[in-house]
Amino acid sequence: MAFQENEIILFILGIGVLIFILKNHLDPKTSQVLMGFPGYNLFVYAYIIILIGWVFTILEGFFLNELLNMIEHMCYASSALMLAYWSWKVFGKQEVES
Amino acid sequence: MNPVGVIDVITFLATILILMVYIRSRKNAFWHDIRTLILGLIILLLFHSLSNFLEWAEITAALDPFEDFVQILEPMFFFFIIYTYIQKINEQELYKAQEFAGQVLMSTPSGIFTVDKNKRIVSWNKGAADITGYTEEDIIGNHCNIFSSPSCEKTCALFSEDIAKPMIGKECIMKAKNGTELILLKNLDILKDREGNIIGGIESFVNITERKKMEVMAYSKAAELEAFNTLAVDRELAMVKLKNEVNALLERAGEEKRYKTLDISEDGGDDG
Repeated sequence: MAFQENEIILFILGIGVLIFILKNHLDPKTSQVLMGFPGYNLFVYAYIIILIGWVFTILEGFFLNELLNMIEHMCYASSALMLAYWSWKVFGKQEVES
Repeated sequence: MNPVGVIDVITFLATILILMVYIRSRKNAFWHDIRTLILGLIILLLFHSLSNFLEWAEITAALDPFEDFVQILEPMFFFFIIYTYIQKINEQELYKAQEFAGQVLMSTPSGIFTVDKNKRIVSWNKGAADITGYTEEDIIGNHCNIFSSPSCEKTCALFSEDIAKPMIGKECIMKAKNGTELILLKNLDILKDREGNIIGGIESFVNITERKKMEVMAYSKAAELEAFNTLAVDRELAMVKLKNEVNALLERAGEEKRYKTLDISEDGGDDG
C-alpha cells in the first residue's frame, strides 16, 4: 500500500504552517504578540500533535500499517482532547477581553 | 468495535465538546472574524472525526471520499486563525500609535500643519487654530494661500528646490482669520514616502507678533535714551569748557582761578 497524493499535500501544507508558526515564534516582536493569543501554547501543541498524525498517515503506507494507523488516530484523539481543553479554558473558564 | 473505532469515538466526542463549549460561550476571547475561523476549524474537525468514526466502527465509509478534501483545509484554518490574530494585534497597535501621535500633535502649543504636494492642507493642530483663528473645519482641504503672505505666494519655500530643507527659524507673515497680520517664526520640511517621493510638507510655527512689537518698543526707548544721554553729556562738556574759559580770563586778569576743573580728555569729567 503506497501513500496517497492528498496525504502528501496535507503534509506539505502542515509543514508550511508549522514553519510559519515557528518563524513568528522565534521573532521577538511577533512572539510577544502570539503570547497574547488566549491559550496559545495549548493551541499550537494541539496543532503539532495533529501534524504528527498526518506524518503517521503517510508512514503507515510503507510499514507497520496497523500500529502506525493506531498511533495516527491516537494523535487525532489527543489533539481533539487538547483543543477541547483549550476551548474550555478560552471560551468557558476565563473571562478574557480582547 | 476495533480499537481504532474506540479512539475515533473519543475524538468525535471531544470535538462535539469543543463545539458545545464554543456555542455556549458568551465571552469575547477573540474578535468576530477569528471566532468565525475557529468555528470553521471545529466543523472541519467534527466532519473528519465523524467520518473516521463511521469508517472504523464499520458503520459506513460514505464520508471517506470527502474527508480527504476536508482534511486539507485543516492546516489552512490553523494558519488563518494565527495569521489573522497577528494582523489584528498589529492593526490595534498601529491605531494606538496613530492616536498617540494625534494627541501629541493636538496638544503641542506650537502651530503644526501638513500639506499634500498640491499644497492642500491635510492636517491642522489645535496650536495652529489658536494662533490663526482658523479651525480644522475651516482649513482642511483648502490651498495654503488662504493664509500665506504675498512673499510665500511668490516663492513657496516648502517646495522650492533652491531653498535647503529643513528650513529652521524663518520669520514670515501670515494672515489670521480676522485679517490681522501675524509675525511667525517657522520651521518647515518636506515629507517623503518610503521610496523617497515627495508627498507633501510639514510646517510648525510660533506666534512672535507680540515679541516683535516689544522689540520695536525697546529699540524706540533705547534711541530716546541715547538722544537724552548725548544731550546731557554735550551740556556737561559745554559747562567744563565755559569754566575753563572763565579760569583763563581770571588768570589773565591776575586773579585766582574760580573753578577746579579736570582734564576731561584724560579723566572724563570734572567736580566743579
